[in-house]
Amino acid sequence: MTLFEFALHNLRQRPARSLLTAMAVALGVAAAVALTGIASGFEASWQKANDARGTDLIVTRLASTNAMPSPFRAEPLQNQLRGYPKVRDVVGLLSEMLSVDASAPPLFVFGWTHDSYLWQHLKLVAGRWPANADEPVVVIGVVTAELLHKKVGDMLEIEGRRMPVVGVFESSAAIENGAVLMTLDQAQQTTDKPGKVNVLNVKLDPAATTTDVDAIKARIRVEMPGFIAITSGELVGQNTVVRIAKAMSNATTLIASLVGILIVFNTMLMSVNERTREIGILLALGWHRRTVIQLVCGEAALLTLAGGIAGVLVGVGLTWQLEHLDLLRGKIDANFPLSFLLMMPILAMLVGVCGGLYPAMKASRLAPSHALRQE
Amino acid sequence: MKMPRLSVLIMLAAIALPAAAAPTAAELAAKMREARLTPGFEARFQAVNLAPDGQRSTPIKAAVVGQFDATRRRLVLRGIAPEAIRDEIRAVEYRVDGCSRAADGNGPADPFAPLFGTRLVAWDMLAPWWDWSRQSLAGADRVAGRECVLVRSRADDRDTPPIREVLSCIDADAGISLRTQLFDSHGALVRDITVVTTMRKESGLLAARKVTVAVSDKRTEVETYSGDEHYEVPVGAFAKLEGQATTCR
Repeated sequence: MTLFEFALHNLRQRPARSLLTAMAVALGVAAAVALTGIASGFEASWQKANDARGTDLIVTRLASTNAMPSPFRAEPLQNQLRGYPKVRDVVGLLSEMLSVDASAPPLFVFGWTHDSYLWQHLKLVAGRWPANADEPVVVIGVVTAELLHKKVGDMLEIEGRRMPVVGVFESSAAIENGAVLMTLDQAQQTTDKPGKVNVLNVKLDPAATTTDVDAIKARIRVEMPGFIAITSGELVGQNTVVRIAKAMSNATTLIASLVGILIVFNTMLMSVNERTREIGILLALGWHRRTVIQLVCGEAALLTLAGGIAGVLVGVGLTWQLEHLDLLRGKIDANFPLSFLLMMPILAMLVGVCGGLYPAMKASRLAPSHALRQE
Repeated sequence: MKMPRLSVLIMLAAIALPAAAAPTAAELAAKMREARLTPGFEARFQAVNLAPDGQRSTPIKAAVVGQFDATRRRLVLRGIAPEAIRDEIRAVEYRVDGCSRAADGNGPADPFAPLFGTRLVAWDMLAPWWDWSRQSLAGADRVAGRECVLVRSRADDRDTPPIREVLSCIDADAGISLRTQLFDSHGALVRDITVVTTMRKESGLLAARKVTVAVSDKRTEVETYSGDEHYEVPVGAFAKLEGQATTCR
């Protein structure tokens, strides 16, 4: 019998305790996986939405750490930016989180400059796009259509204005699939923000290098006080919601690790105390103290590895369920990088080794003569 | 003999310095007035009435445009939803000399009348009590986990307005009153406005994002869902107030 088989056998000898410990570890890992997946997905989805639109730089207010940057008058900045070298296009975007149906949660309502490049990445599934900037109509994402049970020809009430749905679109970004889209002019009218946007999207020449991007960012900092030019990744990184989500997932992982260590510590300590005589026999038979440490730590690692794998599966499943809840549909697009999923059971195993270390040391220090006298 | 005298002086200074640094009620009131100054803002809010049994009403949505300067504060509120209150207008103005006027779509209106069927009152939103001359400190308290200073404001005149006394728990550095209790001439509590959540303005000061307005055992929850701190108030935004009679204290 190898050491691995021996450790496995020991765990099987106490199935209830082993199962409960593994389950506790699994729950901690599941919570960490779900939260990290949601936080990472939220970040990725925002970035995907910006990247899919083909935006190279985003100009927004300096203090825009809120989910929605505060609005500003677009025209003066737009004209100034168009004069910058390597700038191909500058288009405005107004976004708000609004309730469009009493029974549905608030949705993202986007106003995009009509006929701008922003629309190009969207795929029309049904109906048509707004015919011109002044047409008071909306197009909705596939998730919004499903959530609100709306189709082309239906009416949508936004901020007291009834607007017909003329199209349904699909995007590679979950955030856009769960949104309502109209022309910028219509969004400004609907929200009483004439001439205002909360983001200016800057598209650069394909030949623009990172040095050009840095030069534009520096120039904006100097020439447009109160504004900042950032890449979509930087914007997402500054977003308060993304920051909170990341902090929560990190805190959960930390707490789950500490709780995991304590649980494993307790389980293995109980196990070692119950097996004093058995360990004494092993030592009397000539087992090295190092081998006893390996055995106890191995048992702890096996327990937490099993818990870690189960936790990853539960965490992914839980997130999938959340994604399909009506309340959260279109808002969660969880992202589980393979490296992260592989890392979690390894982290759980390390937690197991940490938790099992003291009980293992205690077991290895037993004097065989003393241990054999124990009942 | 010199050393003990020096020690006494240091001790006295240590006691006296914090006392000197503590702002008076009048200074706090001035700070609150200053924190509210704005050439123009626009906000949209959703209000839900809660019955004593916890039952929630249909959400009421409205927009508010405001302009607060050193001499007067003006607001115009417009109903958005439901259909029954759509485009219902209420405009209200308060001047620091104590005169005020209000109007709706049909003519003069009562600035103390509840708005759009909620427990919100336009007069409260103008916070005229910060201009009252009788301000006093009333201790300290803690609201929603934040330390705040209690300031009691008393109306100067016996005749107007119906609110005679206001007890505010303020975080003057953040420019926000975390709880405002309004009392009538008999000292009875008329309304209690408590901030539930806040948002940070570009100035770094705080503004209420969600508040609860309680009138006896009935409450209205009000939450701001959209806003513009740099709103350019259109010409004629307060036209409804033109020609309306003013009431002065």
